[in-house]
Order: sequence, then C-alpha cells, then structure tokens
Amino acid sequence: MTARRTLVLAAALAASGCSSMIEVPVDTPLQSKLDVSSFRRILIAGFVTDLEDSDVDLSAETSRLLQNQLRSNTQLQVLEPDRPPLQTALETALEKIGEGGSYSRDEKEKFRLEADRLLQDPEFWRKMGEEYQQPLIVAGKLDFESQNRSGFQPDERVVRSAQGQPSLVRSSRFMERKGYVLSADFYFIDSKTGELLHKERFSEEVLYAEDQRISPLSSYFELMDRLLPNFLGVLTPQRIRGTRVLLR
Amino acid sequence: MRTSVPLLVLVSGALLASAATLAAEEKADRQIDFGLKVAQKGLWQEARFRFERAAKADPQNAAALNDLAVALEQMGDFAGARQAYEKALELKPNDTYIQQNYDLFREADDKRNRKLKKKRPTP
Repeated sequence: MTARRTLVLAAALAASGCSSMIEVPVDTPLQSKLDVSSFRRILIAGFVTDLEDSDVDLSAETSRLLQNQLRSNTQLQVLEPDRPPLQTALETALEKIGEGGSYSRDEKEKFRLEADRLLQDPEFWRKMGEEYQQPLIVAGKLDFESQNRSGFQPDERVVRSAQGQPSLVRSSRFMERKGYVLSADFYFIDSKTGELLHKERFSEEVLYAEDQRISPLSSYFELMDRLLPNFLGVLTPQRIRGTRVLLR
Repeated sequence: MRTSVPLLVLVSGALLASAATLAAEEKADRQIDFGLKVAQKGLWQEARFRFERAAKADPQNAAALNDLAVALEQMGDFAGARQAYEKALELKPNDTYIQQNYDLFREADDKRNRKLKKKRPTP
C-alpha cells in the first residue's frame, strides 16, 4: 500500500467514525478481448519496422519473445517458421523498391505504403493461412526510438533557516535525461478469411539519467516487459488486482 | 387509570420494537464478524453468504451492504456488487470507505466494460 493510500485510509477512518475496518485484497477476472477458442494454432508472422539501422533487430526479437510468452500463457500451439513469413514478403517488396543499404525518403515512403498494403490484404493472409493450417496470425508494425528528454525539471528542497526552521524551496534545475520509446501496432488476423479481427496500439517509454549506461537491447526488453500483459490480455483472460475495505 | 392502559400498550410496543431492532442488529453484527473472518481467509463464498444474511437481518446496515458488495465483486457478480455498493451509499452517503470502495469498483468495472466493447466475435 502506498503512503498516499495509507493517508487516505487514515483520513477516511477519522471521517467516517467507523468502529473498525479490514483491508482485503481482491482479484477479479478480466475477459480477453478476443475469443480465440476457434483457433488451435497461432503464428507470429513478423513485423514491419522502418528502414533505419537499429541496435535491436526489432522484428526478430519481438517474434521470439512473443512466441515464448504465448507458449507459456496460452493453450494455442505456437508455430515457429524458420523465418517470419511477413519478413520474406517485405524483403521481396524491398528488392523491387531499391538497392539494399541506404534508401531515399521516397523509397522509404514506398516501402511504408507497400507494408501497409500487405498488412491490410486479406488475400495475402488467407494464402499464408493455407500454408500454415489456418492459424490466428499476429503481425504489425514496430517502432523503437531513442529520445532526448533533457530539460528543466521542477525541484523541491527542504531548507533550514539559521533558527532551524524548515521551509520548502521550489526551483527548477536542468537534468540530462535520455530514454527510449517503443510503439507497437498489433494486428490479429483470422487466416481462414484473411479478416482483421482486432488491431491495437501500445506505447511505452522509459527515461534514464545521463550517467546511467543502459543498452538499447536492455531498454527494449524493459519496455516489452511492460507491454506484454496488454498484448496477452487480447488473447487470454487476465486478472484485476486491488484492495477493498470491509467494515464491521 | 383508564388512560394509562393504552399508554402502557404503546410503551410496551415501542420497547418490543426497539428490542427486535436491537436483536436484528446484533444478529447482523454476528454475521458480519464471521463474514470478516472467513473473507480474510479467502473463503468468499461463505463470506458472501454471511454478509447476505447480515443485510437481510438488518437492511439499514450499510457495513453489511458494503461487505456484501466486496464479496460479490470478488466473485465476479459485478451487477450485484454495483447494486449493493449503491444501496450502502444511499444509507451512508458520507462514508469515505464505502465511497472509496465504490470508486475503485467503478474504475475496474469501466476497464472491464471497455474490454468487452472492444471484443469482436470470431466467425
């Protein structure tokens, strides 16, 4: 229980004049967003990322991480192709657009449009479904960027006067901070029909002080760790945990 | 002497009524006490039964209704929980504990409802 909650409870006790109270934990069910009972298999088809060089192989790392999570948190059989099939299709599209290595702004835009078209192409997903025995397909778009959030931050200090009298001094000070933002658009596709069943965007951010040496890969895992319960909540029932007060 | 007979009847009636109220309150308190004990052990089915009996014995007991609401919420009967919280608040509109429980319940319930709205059936 946080200090704030404790204070609120104490104030409540004084205000209500109740003879006694007991705080109890409650744990209530939260249904999954999708009913996946008609699927026996799930395929992480891969993810669209931008064409910038990155310290983290976003699509491969995310596919592997989601496969592991799905294996331990769902009843679905998790398919593991040698290579995420969306990646193969994206590479074919990229070959048509230009030479490997560096891409012009136009080429990047062309790639983005082609990737969006693929993500929304029922025929593409239906064909993939035929190949993989009609699983529930998870695909989407990922973005992982470093952020510079240096700037003035509000600061509060307790200062004592010569007489020992404490007083609160508010000021602002410059803080060097950097961080990362991970954004994920997940598409859940029925490969029997190619229809998009559900689409959801998640975004998480982490900030570090300048002197903290955190690798991009560590940050990526930290952000994915926060994002995973929301992702799993689409496919499996979750629990809402909290506390309530019983009165006598 | 004649006028004192109806007065006696009235006084006796009032005394009997207050004794009955007192007995109902005591019965409700006993049920609540037991309910609290079992709830702390996680036996919510039994706790719910006790809180229901307490609320039946003393329908003006806001604590019984609050506790019943918590038990119903814990067991997944969200409509029942909402009704019980609202009744408890009608009886004690200024009780901060009940209000706090109700606010937390509504927050969780909104989350559940948002999830259900977003849910789309698979063909």
